[in-house]
Amino acid sequence: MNPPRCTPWEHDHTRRQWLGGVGGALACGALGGLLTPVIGEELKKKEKQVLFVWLDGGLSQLESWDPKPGTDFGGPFRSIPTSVPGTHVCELMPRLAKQMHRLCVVRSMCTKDNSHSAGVARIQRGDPKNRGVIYPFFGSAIAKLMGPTASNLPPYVWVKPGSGGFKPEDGGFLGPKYGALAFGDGKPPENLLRPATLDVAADAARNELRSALNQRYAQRRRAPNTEASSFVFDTAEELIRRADIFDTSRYNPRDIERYGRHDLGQQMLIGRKMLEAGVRFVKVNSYGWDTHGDNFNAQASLVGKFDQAFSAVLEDLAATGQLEHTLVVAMSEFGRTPRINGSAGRDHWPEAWSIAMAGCGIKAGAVVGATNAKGTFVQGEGYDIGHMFHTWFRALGIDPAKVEYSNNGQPLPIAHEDMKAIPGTLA
Amino acid sequence: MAEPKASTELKEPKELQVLANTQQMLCARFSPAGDVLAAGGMDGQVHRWKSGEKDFTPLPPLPARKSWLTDLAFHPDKPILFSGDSWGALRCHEGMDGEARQVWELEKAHEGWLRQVAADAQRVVSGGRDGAVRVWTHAGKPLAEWKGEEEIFCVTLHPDGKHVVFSDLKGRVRVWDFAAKKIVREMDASFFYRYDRIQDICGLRRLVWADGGKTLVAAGCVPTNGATMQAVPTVQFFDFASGKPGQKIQHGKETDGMIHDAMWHPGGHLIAVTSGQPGTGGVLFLRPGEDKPFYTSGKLANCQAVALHAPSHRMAVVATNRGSNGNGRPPGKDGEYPNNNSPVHVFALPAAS
Amino acid sequence: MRRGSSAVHTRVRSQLAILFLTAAAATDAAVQAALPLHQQIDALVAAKAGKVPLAGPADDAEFLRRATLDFAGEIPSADEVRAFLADKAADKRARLIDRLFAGSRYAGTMAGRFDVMLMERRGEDAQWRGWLEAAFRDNKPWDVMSREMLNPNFADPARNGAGHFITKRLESYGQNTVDYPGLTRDVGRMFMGVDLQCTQCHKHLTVKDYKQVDFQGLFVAFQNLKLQTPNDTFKVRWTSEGLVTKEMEFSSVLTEIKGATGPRVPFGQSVAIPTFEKGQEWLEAPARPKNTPGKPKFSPLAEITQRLVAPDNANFTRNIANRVWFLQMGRGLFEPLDLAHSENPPSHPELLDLLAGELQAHKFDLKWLLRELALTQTYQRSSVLMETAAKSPEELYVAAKERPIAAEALVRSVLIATGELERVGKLPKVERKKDAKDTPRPDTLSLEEMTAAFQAAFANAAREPELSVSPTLKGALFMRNSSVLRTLLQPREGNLADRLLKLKEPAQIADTVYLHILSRPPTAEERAEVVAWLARQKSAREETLANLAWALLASAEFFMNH
Repeated sequence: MNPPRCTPWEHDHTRRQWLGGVGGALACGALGGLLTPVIGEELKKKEKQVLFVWLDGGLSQLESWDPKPGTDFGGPFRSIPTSVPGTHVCELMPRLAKQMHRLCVVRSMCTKDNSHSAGVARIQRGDPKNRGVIYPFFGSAIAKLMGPTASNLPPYVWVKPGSGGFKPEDGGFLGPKYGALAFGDGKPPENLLRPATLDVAADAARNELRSALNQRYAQRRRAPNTEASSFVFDTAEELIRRADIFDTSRYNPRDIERYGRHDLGQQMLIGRKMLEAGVRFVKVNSYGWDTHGDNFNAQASLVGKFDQAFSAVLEDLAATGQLEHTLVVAMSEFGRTPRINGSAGRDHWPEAWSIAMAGCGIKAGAVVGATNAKGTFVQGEGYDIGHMFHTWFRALGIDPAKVEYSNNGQPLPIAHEDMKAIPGTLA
Repeated sequence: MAEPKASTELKEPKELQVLANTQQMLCARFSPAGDVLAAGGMDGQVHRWKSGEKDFTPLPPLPARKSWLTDLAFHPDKPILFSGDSWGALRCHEGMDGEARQVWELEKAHEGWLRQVAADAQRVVSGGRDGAVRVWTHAGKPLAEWKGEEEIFCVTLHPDGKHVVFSDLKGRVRVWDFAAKKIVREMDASFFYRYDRIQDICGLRRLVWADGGKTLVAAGCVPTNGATMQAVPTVQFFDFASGKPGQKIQHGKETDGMIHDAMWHPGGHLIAVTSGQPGTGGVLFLRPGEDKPFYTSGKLANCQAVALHAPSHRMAVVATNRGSNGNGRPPGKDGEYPNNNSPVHVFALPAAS
Repeated sequence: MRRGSSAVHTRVRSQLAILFLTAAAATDAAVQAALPLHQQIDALVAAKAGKVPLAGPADDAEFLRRATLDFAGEIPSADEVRAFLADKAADKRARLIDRLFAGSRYAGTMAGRFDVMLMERRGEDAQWRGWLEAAFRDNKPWDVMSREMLNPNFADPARNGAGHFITKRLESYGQNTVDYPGLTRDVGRMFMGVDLQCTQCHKHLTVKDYKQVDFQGLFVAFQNLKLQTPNDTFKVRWTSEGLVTKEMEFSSVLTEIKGATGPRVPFGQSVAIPTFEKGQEWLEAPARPKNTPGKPKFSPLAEITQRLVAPDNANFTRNIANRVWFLQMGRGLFEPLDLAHSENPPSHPELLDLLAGELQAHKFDLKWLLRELALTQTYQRSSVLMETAAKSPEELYVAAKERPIAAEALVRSVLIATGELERVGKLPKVERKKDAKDTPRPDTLSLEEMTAAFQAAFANAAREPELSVSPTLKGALFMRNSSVLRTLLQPREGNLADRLLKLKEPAQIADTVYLHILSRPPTAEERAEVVAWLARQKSAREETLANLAWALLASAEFFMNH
């Protein structure tokens, strides 16, 4: 039976709601109007952003952040030293070992969901106490709480293999407008590119006429509908104008090599370009981590590619100074069992696993929490995904004790009210 | 083994004994005389059993560091055992009774995971994740090296003693004249490889000689999906002299997984063991020219290795305990988080096979 | 929960009478009560609006467009606009309504609107759509429709399409298992205007009327269904019922308080579950060899249906009255449409009572109610506000509310506006491979494919109600860059682009483009704006004219039913 869920449909589309979502973004634009252009540029530079790397299916903590070589469940790999003295990671991550001083790894994740169907969504929704509503995914939450940056680009973009388009379901009770704009196979959404036969000036002219018509129409009518219409056309304009972000043919070939000629590498690179262009929240997705069979060869192949792509983006964000105001998270819905099954696989393990973070508000070079010697269970306090949401919100300067959602008047916490940010993870 | 059991009355393999142990095993071989069965796995040690009047009894294991013991190879005539581990070591033990001793160890024979070991009367060969194939003397002195971009999964020595044949992640099989330091031939077994999402999946897991070296048998699987590992057990025959592919046999469903290990029976057929999703797997006897195995057994789950001692009509299959999957498994009765293990099943084979 | 609506009905009549007596136009109460429903509605709306000024009546063009969109699912053609504007008869609006109700597009249009409301874009189904269309063609009463949907006769080809309401919801989709709670919830939402989902596991946290037993009582009947594949007897997917022999036990996850219920309509009484001797429970016993699921003597579904669709279930009547009101006015008398409870009173309590009572008195005749609503001044008001928006609260209905145009009506409207409906309508349906590499040339798209393209751009995702005007980025990108739209603006013999090309005078161009696309003539200011804009353009004339038409098609005015 499906988990209980109560989703009061969103019935009224007020102007304010419009201003936040994938659809919506006038707030920052309006603010921009109050500032001198220089300050506006300055503000844009310092605007907080998020890179959320999702390894769907379950990264093995033992083959990555929390190796236990030489123990019963340790697997075939060795561990290697990192740029943080005393901290070791699995030998499959030689490049990330050199980025360890930028990272903060929580090794004591202990979550509840053991299946993908529940886990993927509940983890990304922060698994709040059962509040009777479907919570937004992290990206939708940020789209709602922070809105787009001054770039006016959609605030929640999802770069992923497979199909693209508009993914309203991520929005949960916040509504479909806070869903993700997905770039399937890294490709832009349908109809992004201006047809070759339409010249830029003519396009501008027809839109200028459309705006004039809308303005006159709206004069004596309720504003939100027309505003919303104008807004989506303007956002479309912004996206069309920035279509170069997705034009991989213009990327530096050195970057392409450095990030790796595979989906994860190329999509991580697109993700970086999106962050540069000013997208508030970028989720980069990789599939196929559910290594129930042949885990060690599989993780060797997968982790190697993650090592390449993730270290490259960390390096680049650090080099440009963006890391200071960009929260970076890499995780899965759970870890993998210490026990190795008969298919040389590892199964689902929410009991003891790891998450890596870096950047904005995060303590660099820290390892928080630990598992026991065999890596089977967390030693000391385990942290649930609610703790992570508190941590991330705090890192971004959002105080979950003060900020709450309103669901048709019902106040709802933005993160699990019985949990707090994880000590030792915040800068 | 004192007296080879008269197996003429047997029509198919008959299980004689299950050697229980507490570890998960990955490889197993009989000593040349058939008196010792050696197996290795996830605790790094070589576990051994000695054959007695009626059955096999344990010998003390050969201790080692706690990496994975990934492959074993006996000297064809002498009680000398070569083994490799996942941290790159190659070792040599002598004497297969209780007094066995380690003669030498090359701790860094490979950088990381040493995947397979093969030996003949003169040399030892090893290959690993580092993309290297190395030939050593029995004393552990390096003789030759080949290095490529891709991980090496399988190595074997041709009976002529001149050629090493090895295969990589992507199913390229190379014939290497190691003395002349050149690749003399390549065989295309790339259908064993699949790139799924961002996972490179190697389906070619064992190279076996048939007909005294005239035929090379490539065994493994054709993967259809990574991660959960969907694959169909597959065997491809090659004519060694020309390198041309011969018969290809696929047997089973996608959930049946892969052939993890195989040996050639001098009676003219291949013995292969398979493992797929937890609970699946078994033993296959395949004869060239036939499109289906003439014997299959699905009684054993998740078979990782097979050892054959033809003169004594003995076969040992390393299987896995039932219920080995770990999703949401609660701790065992004593509160301990339970391990899986590999019962080793010893069979008597029909004389004909 | 309100009960006994006939009593309420009487009460409303007397209230109305008082209202009219106290209102400026004091007349005989008896005469007032005999007034047609649409006049009674207007009186109640006007009384509630009080001093807030009412917008004037929509002008003829706006009314024609609104009614045509509502009851024919498309905008009027330029010829229809001209004819309607030229018609000097005083009763032309009532005649238009009658014409539309008798028109060939009425049944299909209403079927489409109810399909979107009831199924929330779960996907198309020919039998279901056929049943809905027949229901509106034959003006099948809502209570009959409801019974056919809730307790379908799967063996009757004339009615089995109705079963889609249930069978579609019993499909598993994505990684979800069969969503019985979802089906239970939707029965409450669609037929009683109550969303009981939150009470599945505990009492409602914010609605004190909703108890866990209200969900569970419905759930008893709906979780008992099993989806079956078509066979010789049932040509569509159908459902079988299992045995229910004892009350369903449940406990609150909040308080751990336990309860039990048999089949029970929310806020009603639990149906006693009969006991049968062992082996006597079945009307038709399940048979293993043929794998037939059998038919129990006791059918919770029949019990629920009989009690839910009943005169004493006020929520049933009020729900449909409110939903039809919403369809025509863009706003429910209570909102959300599925959150009827005592602490969420209607904006116009007497009006809702009146509608519900009259609908019941008229035996759930939806066509009659739709017609009465269409005849109200409330429906026929202009969408232009007399005062600022802040001073004109939406719930007072002082101006017409802008409503969304569904993707299916939008595509027809675009085709009518561009003069392409005839051409596209004649193109044959083409079976195309889903992942065919060569995408079809946009000018070869059949009406069906064109509709699919518009649905992809403008329809909501499955299970997402379409309730208000909600422009999306996806839709904006489609309008801006899609070749599908672009092809309609290329001149072909007789289409809009062709006509515009042949016009010499910029003012004529302005008039034509307004009439065809916005279904009205331009004002002098608008005409001048177009003329000036045309004069500024440097592109080729054909391109310029296409861009002009595009600006009107992409305007907020075109996209709304205002």
